[in-house]
Amino acid sequence: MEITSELRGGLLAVTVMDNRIDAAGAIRFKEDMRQIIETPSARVLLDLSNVTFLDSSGLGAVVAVRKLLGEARPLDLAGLTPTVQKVFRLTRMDTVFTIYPVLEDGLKNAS
Amino acid sequence: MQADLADGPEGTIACLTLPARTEAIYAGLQTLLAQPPLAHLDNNLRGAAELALAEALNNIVEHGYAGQSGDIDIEIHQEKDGLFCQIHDAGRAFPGGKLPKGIFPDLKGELPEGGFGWALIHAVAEDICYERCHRRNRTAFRIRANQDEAIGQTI
Repeated sequence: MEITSELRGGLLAVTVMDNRIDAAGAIRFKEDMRQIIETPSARVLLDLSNVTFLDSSGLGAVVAVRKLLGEARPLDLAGLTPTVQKVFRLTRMDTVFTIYPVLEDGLKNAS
Repeated sequence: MQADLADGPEGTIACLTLPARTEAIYAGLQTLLAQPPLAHLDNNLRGAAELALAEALNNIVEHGYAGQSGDIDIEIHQEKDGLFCQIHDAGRAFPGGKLPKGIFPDLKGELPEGGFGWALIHAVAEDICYERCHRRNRTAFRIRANQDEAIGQTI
């Protein structure tokens, strides 16, 4: 899975380049994220704007990454596409995560 | 939405048989999405169909066959106001011979990493039915064209 990351101040901005996080890619996503978040940062912002499809396995993997980071290091999300947004809304995970419309909004909030 | 459906003739059917493996489900969904009737749909309906199919198929791979080899037969019929999806497999029956109730897990306390699959199917699909016959499972559901309305009724 192709994932890019960039440290901006205390914020680690992570962008998923693939267009799906599903049952076939969820474990890989979690493992890749585990390595990426080894870079110390106060917060992590995950840009999902390229992801057009996320199923329950993908959602579980995002939740798992949030748990890996722990309470002290929040995982925020940005750029949810309509089908991904629907999964977050239906499962009410949109009430658990801070979600920004686009990556830039999340970056502004970092400063 | 109705206009998009009219692009493909009512009655169009897509059929596909897949081996019960996660990677095969991924590839199979891509094949189905690229051909009628799914290819003609607007993104909202197509996304709902992809979600319901992915959840149902992955559930069969993980729990129905649970590592055993076998096939999954998928049929997707275009109807006047949506899609009718039918899946046959020879994996284990659902526990108790009944479909999972599909209640979304509670988010209080430790966040759940699973248990969302069938709840998502119930949220986006209608007329969900399941039967076991001659050691095979038949699971079927409809995805309505007006998705927002369907979701409104669920919440």
